[in-house]
Amino acid sequence: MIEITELTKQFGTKTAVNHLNMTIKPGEVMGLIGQNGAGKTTTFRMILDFIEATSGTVTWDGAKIDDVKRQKLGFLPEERGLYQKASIENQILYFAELHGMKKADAKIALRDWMKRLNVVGKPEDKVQSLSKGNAQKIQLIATVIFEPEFLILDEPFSGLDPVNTELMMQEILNLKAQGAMIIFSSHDMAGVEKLSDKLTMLRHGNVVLQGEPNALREQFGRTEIYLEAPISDTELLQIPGIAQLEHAGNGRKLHLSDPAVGKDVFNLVTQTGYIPVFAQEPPTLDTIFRREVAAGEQNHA
Amino acid sequence: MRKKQLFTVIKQTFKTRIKTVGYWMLVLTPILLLGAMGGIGWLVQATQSQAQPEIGIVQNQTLSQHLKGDQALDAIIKDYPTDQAAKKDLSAEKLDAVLVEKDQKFTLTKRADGQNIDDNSLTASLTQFNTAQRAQQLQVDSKTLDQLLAPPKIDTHVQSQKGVNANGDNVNGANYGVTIVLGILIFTFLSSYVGMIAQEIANEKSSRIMEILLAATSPGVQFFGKIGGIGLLALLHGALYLLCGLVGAIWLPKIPQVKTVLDTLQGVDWTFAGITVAIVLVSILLYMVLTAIVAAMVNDLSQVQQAVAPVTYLSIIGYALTFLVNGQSHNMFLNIMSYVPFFSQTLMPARLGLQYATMGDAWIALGLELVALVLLGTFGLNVYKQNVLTYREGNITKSAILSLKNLFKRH
Repeated sequence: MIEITELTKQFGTKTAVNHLNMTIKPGEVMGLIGQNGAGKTTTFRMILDFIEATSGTVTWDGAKIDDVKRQKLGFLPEERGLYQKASIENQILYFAELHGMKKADAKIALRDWMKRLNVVGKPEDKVQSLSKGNAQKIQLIATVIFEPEFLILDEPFSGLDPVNTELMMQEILNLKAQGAMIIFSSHDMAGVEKLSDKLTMLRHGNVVLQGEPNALREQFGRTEIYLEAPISDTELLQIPGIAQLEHAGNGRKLHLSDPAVGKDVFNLVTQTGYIPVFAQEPPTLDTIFRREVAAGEQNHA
Repeated sequence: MRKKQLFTVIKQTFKTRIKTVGYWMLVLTPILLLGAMGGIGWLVQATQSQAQPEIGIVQNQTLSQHLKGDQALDAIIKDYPTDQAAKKDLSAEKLDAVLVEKDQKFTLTKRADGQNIDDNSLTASLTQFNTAQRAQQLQVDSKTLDQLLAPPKIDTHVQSQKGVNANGDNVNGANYGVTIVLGILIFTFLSSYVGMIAQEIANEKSSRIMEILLAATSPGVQFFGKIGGIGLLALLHGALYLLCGLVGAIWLPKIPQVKTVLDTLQGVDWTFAGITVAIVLVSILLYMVLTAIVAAMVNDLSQVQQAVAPVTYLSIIGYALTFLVNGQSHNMFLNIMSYVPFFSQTLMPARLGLQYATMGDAWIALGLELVALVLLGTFGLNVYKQNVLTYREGNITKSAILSLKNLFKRH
């Protein structure tokens, strides 16, 4: 288990990460969200010992991450990097060997991974000849080929098209199923919600939200209604407690100041009988994220 | 496990670089240049139309006999009864020059497009002729004249701190000559491999590959792995030149240039050669470590040249000072500098070659280099670790100074 306790990093007078606490158990995925500069990458760099923490600890099964543990750790950096002039095989085997994998095993595994991720190209091809999407897949293979027990993924979906994003999500879920501990950062809230068992939201280095995605959403109450019904905006806005109304696709989204108002809305829109859609849900992670960002900016001002 | 990872990094660095055209260009260019120079020399010699010059002597049998008997003068001597007859043949291009003697003064008339006459040999021969003529006038016999003109025989013994050394000038000359050639080689090696190691590190840092590598290994493994890999390439480079030298010595000993080198090397003292090689090898490592530290400060490949320039300047200083050593046995500045790591690799062998320093001095210089290597390796690793994943904006020289300030701080 990975345990992060009171982890703090200060750069001069600026606090990049402030008293961060979290645990990641085997087979668990932790999503780390926050705006640019919230402290996500700094957290990863402290876990990886790239930078020294001002205070706090990071342990793996109760001990510091040493060279032995490091070999079972996979890291996908935000800014991808591969040897452009080297062949796919040459560099993947090098990375695998550094992680203690036998060359012969890595050779077989590489072919298997390239097939699974639909990489267009041969192991002998040079990386510079690959498309951006294929290069990203090779980068993921370099990170996971040795079957890491702990995986750090910094913005794994950035720059990927929807098909490849889905493919990568599936592989992350496969690694999770194999018992890997995974922490990743992303701006794609739908992806975070789909993958994460737990998530941590950072704002200016401070934890503002932490827990299971559904529980976090529920704690804000069911204040969102998606509605498809033959009723005018004016009639709806006459109900007290509707904070905001916006058009979304074929229907409308209502933001309630109190979940109890949902009942009044339901009664009004079903007066004439059947309606195609009425869904009362807690706010999405995206909405919560935007609210927290806005709140943070207000406090900062 | 660190050992295994270190070996993997060394192997990868070595294997990647040895496959590049750049490395083989570096190794082969000097050999090809030497070959090309030798080939051109041979071609010029083989195709030259130079024949023996023909010199006409006017009405002077004695002079004509003397010049014909002089082996050093490479010319055909012809007798002419009159100046006019000789000049006529000169105009008709049957002669290359006409030599006339009057009261022991000589006039040489040459054809502008005639064969080249070796002026030095001709002057020496005519001086000899004049001396013989005067000796005859003074009734000095030829045996006495030979005794008078015989040069003094000097047997050189050099008394140095090393003891008395017979034929010392030859040994010193050979050692010093080897040092000068070595200086050029060291400078070429340093500037090439300093650039190579800097590019390796800067490439991995700027392309962010370093982050992936350091997630798997410690900075120490990367730092020493790169130095090891490039160091092996430098050793291979040296070994290939040694092999070429041996092949040249065995197969081509009759070529004049190869013979000259072999004759010089025969005068080299092998204890001198041993300690020199040791000092040079440690200095190459020392420069590589310094370069690795500096290269870690680079943000992208365009800054490599700027970053390694001070390291190259440092090697130039030692190289340039080597040329000042000869005749400066008591120069305090040069004596002190010959012990200082980063400069001693050329200065100490030069002083040792000229017997201005003893083997004891050389061992001290080697010891100081080793101490500097250990210190730089230990403290430099901390600076490397600090910089290799830090991307600073602005002037790289400022970053370098900032980092070097922290070099010997406790971490």
